[in-house]
Amino acid sequence: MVLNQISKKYGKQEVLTDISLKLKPNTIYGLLGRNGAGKSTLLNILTNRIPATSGKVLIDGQPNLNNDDALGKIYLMSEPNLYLTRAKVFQIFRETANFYTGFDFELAHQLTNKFGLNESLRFGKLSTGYRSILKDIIALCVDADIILLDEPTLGLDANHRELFYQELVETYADRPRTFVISTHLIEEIAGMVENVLLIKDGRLALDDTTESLLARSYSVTGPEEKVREYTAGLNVIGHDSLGKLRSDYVFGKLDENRVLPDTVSVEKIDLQKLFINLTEQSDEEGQK
Amino acid sequence: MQFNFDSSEPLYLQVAEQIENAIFLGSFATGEQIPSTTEISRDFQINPATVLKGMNILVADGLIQKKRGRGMFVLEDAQEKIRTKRKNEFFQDYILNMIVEAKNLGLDENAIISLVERGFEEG
Amino acid sequence: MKLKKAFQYQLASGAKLLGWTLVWVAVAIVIIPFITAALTGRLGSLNGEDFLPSGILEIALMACLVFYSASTYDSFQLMIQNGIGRNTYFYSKTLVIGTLALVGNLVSVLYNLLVMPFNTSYGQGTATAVLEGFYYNFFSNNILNDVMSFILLVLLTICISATFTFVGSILSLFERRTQIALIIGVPIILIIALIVVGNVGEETSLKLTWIAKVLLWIAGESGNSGTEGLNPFHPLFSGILYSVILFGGTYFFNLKLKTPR
Repeated sequence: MVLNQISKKYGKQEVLTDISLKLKPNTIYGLLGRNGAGKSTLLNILTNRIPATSGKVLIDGQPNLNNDDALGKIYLMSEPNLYLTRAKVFQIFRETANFYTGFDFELAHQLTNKFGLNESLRFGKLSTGYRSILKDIIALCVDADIILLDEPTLGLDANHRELFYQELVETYADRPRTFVISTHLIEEIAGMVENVLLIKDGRLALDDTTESLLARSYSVTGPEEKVREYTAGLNVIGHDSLGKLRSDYVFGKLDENRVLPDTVSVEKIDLQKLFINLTEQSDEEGQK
Repeated sequence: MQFNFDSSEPLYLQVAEQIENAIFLGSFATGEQIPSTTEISRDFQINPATVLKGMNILVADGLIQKKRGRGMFVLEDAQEKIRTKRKNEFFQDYILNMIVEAKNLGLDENAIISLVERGFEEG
Repeated sequence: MKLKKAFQYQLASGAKLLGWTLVWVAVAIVIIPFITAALTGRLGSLNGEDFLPSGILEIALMACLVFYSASTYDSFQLMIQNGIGRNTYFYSKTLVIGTLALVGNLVSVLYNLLVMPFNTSYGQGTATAVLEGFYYNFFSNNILNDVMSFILLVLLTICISATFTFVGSILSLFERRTQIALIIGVPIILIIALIVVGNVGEETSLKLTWIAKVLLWIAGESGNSGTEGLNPFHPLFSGILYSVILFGGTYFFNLKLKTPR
């Protein structure tokens, strides 16, 4: 799947600007960004639910616009419910199987059992959590090459969230395909995500492997002056302070020629910390 | 097994270490099969590729071996290899560092030895 | 294109809707009067006609098609969720309307013939009867006249459906509140406009007679005299043109569908 300079405007407000990227096959992506960054809009454009203002989405080389073949290779589990409220769970499975041939009914039944979802209930009667669960189950059972998950654990309790990601990893191991998971609960997916897509202010700020990102993300901790001295001129994306003690978060290469003072320590940081610091910048800029 | 996602250490190294530790402590005995990539991925929600990368380190270290179509098995001398490796690491990580710190504190060799003796008595 | 799958799905839901509409129409036309009669002790006055009224299928078909045609957004949502694009959605829905109009009317006509023995006043008020009244004398061959009446019946059904799909396709682009405002507002504005136009004076009344002439031509008035009956080719031609234009408009608006709106 290729995105070519996707932009989206609502009136004069630009929601997405010039997003170009290529989704690799059989990879788990984390689509990260703060609320309102444009994640859902991007996913809706990928699945042709809404049109892009400009730019193209190609799936296996075909534009996705009203293209059943292209759209059939991709499934979006979205927060808005597009299923008919009067349809029963098992009917929704059948409907889905009608269009996405190769729907795994066996897995669907196993999952409804594990999650305790009654298949003869009507969609409209399900709680928010169980609607998410139903849509998640469909997403895991559909035989499509690209599965997009927009806040898949919305309304799920801790047990169900863990169960869902366990099942996701297992089906991924059984039948590798590309997942794009959009969520603000980064810790939950930190171990699975191979590639990070970060959207900030409607732009694609990062598209890199988790490994490579974490390999160049550091925290530099020590007395304020020493830390400032050491990180001067580096790409400092944020900081924490506790009295005179300061942690600078650096994204990018450290200067190997600089001598690290004894009182200053350098450590790696995790995805969550990196995300928070990368996305907080704009707030500070906004305040200035 | 337990994984610390906040740790500064890459996840695949953690996977390798955790399995290695389990072999060393005998949780996965010699000749026994260790959990599959999928099982570990599922239980800890780690990408299968990451788990595999960790396992490949152990394969390269000669601790486990892949048997076609059946999974990974603990090799006979795995425990011994780990012991040797850890002894080396013990010297590198603990002894050398201890001596650096001891020098900072102005402790000489005899002082360290007597401290070590005290440690054995109390430990 | 996954037209076949989309068509099958749409047809199944359309047929299901038709079935339910039939049940409700039957309840309203047959069962409620029966119960009322039973309660008031006038069961004896009921005859075959009350149990098997002619034209009941026609009513159900029309009600079903109006509803099916006008509801756009929900079925579009389901289609796009399942990876079906707007083109395929439009074609499958239009095909279902055509299929239901054709098959539904065929069954309805057969039903009307079947219940004829139980009906003392055959066909009074049914659309077929009305159409036959207008156009039955055009051909000298009665079979041709029957066929033509049937074609016009199907076409009339399609025209009505086309009107509602068109309206539905526009409404589906707006949020619920705007929809309600449009449904209430537009007819009011039209009525006011008509009243104003009607009161403007003689010049416009001339225009109105012009409109009336067009309508009469569409109905089949051939201009000479009414003796030889109305010309069915006029409504045939106009009906086809009307449906093509409205379905074209529907297609245009359906391509603009999006979710969330």
